[in-house]
Amino acid sequence: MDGGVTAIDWAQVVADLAPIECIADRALVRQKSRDFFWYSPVLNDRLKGVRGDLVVSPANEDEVVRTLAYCHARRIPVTPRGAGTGNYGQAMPLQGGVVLDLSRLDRFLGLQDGVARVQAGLKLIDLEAHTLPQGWELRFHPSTRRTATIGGFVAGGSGGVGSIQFGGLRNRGNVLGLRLVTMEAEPRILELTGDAVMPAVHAYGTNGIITELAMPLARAWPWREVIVSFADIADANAFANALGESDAIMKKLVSVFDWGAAQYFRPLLSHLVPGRAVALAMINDGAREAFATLVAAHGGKVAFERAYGEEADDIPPLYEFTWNHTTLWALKTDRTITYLQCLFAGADYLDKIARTIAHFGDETPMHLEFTRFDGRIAAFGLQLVRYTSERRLYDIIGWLEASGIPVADPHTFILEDGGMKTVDQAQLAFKQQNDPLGLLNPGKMKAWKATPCS
Amino acid sequence: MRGPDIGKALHAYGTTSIVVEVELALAPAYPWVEMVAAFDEFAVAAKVAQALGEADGIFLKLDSLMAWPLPGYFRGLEGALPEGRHVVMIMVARGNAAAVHDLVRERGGTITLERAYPVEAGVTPLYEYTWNHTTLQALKVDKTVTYLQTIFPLGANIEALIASHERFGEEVMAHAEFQRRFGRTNCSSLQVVRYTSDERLWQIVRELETLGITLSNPHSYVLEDKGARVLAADLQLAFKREADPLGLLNPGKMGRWTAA
Repeated sequence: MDGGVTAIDWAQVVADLAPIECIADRALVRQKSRDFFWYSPVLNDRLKGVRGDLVVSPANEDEVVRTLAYCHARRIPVTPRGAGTGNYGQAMPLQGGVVLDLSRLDRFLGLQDGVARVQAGLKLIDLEAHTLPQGWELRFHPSTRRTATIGGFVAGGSGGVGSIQFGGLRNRGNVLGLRLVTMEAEPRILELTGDAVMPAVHAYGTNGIITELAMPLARAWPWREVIVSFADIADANAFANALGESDAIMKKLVSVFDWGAAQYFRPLLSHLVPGRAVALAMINDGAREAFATLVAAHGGKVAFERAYGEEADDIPPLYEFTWNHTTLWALKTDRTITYLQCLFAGADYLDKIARTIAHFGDETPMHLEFTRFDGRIAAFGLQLVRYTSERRLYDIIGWLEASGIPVADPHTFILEDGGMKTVDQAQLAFKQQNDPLGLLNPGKMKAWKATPCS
Repeated sequence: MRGPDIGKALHAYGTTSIVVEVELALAPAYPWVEMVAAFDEFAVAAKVAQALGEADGIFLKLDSLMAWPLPGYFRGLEGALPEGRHVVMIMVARGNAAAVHDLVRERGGTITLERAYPVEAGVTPLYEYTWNHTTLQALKVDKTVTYLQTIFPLGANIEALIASHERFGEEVMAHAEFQRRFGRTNCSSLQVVRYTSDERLWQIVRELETLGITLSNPHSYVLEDKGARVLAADLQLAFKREADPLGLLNPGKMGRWTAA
């Protein structure tokens, strides 16, 4: 598939947009049109040929406004992009056109009262480079902290390392403000605060282009990374739940893997015992003794520990084995593997996990990220899947959903199908106001019915 | 002493030994904001206090609920405590003040006070109207009131709280302090009681128990009368035998102590 937009003279577009930086080189455009959709064999089939026609890299908000006004006048689709680390095709330009690379909007604008004001293209690691010396860190970040941008995370992500304390992006209070540019003849600049940010959070940039964000930070603790092994994953899960419910131990990460998933963690293997389940945790340094007591009470063995930020044996930060990085480690060894995303919640959530493990065994090696969800401890299942066919994949999803385990399908680029499977009316209404022609990231919002572009 | 051994001396009133040094875990300080939210309906105020506790994205230090007429006893918060309204007193990370506004507005409440913490010199901080200060503030105005300390059932605390308010009205003025227990939001209550007689006080306690609300008796100096502390009591009794064999430390407080 070529870029979807024909009858446009892209060299002329480049000339018209000058001095805004553009890339027209086919190979580079293809590279910058891609994200991590290939985690999914289903998406890989559907999206591998997708590419934009032109990458536009504005250096500031004025250039964003100019680009959008220009594309609106010519009915050119625009798909925004941060670092392209999403894995559901969030940043894939389904109808070609302009890929709007926001990574040059990378200014740190200020920190006051624990709130960081930043431009959308700032990388998470660079954001924290500004705030950590002042004792503040992100409340939570994806496992792609070293590559992802803050705007990409808010537009395409949901939670991550730190969600065990703070929940996710959709929880009130975790995104404080957004500055958004609309896709109209004369683009408007909206300043959203409070609940008004919600329609644009995790909307894949379908209803406006985020240029600035106000993010609440957390006080940085001296964290400690620990790997604990268990004879059985049930013990590891009971431990993880107890750790989650230990109010006096601060946590940033509580992840559990059975050996079927942990076997792919190549840099950790010298510390792991084949066959044993593994928990990875980040806890505050001051809670080491309480943590050790909890480990002993659940029959665990500490396999590795160090202060967070300390280099040891070329082991990357432990969070780079968790959340969506887990699947990446497996894919490095076995290209046939894929994954799921489901939610184990409610008073019986540990039973639901046990039933799932018993039912699927090594077909879906278990990977759990413990989190706070509606004020309680729950776990996201990002179990690996030994993929055989799309049909089997959806049988597995069907079993989970019938068992009261909601699935956020990571094998679709459709916004609603990847989430709660219901139309978000506020999100849709916001798109109708801000992108009446449906030119922003077209094809992603299922509820959008208007003719996308002429 | 470290780890679980600390239980031998923690909240033992010095009956088991004399604590001379403490190693205490701290939390990094946030810039806080003090807020008061007022509501017409007690049930709504109670549910907001619970919802605040369960809002993982709203970072709190204080979440206290007081039924009218309790706020009517407080001096120094004029204007923030409207006649007849139930209030929630809140300390929240400054960045999350807007989220509290959104939640309170959504439930039909009004923010009647919002100010930076620490407060200016001479101004009473909000926390001095909460926890055990609540009863003290009431006693400053009316020497006849007293209080209870009660523990609520996890997962059903709000229902019990609302039921007790409906049962006793102004005789037992609801006051609940919301907190994390076993990873979940619960409350304990320090109700202020319009005291008439000991008999009536114990009748109230028995009726609260029928609602699942159990007493941690503040009208007793006996250590073990403070509710579900059986495990600690065993540990402390055994330790006292080792560390204070003659029973000379704070005598009379450990109810199960008998001289060897």
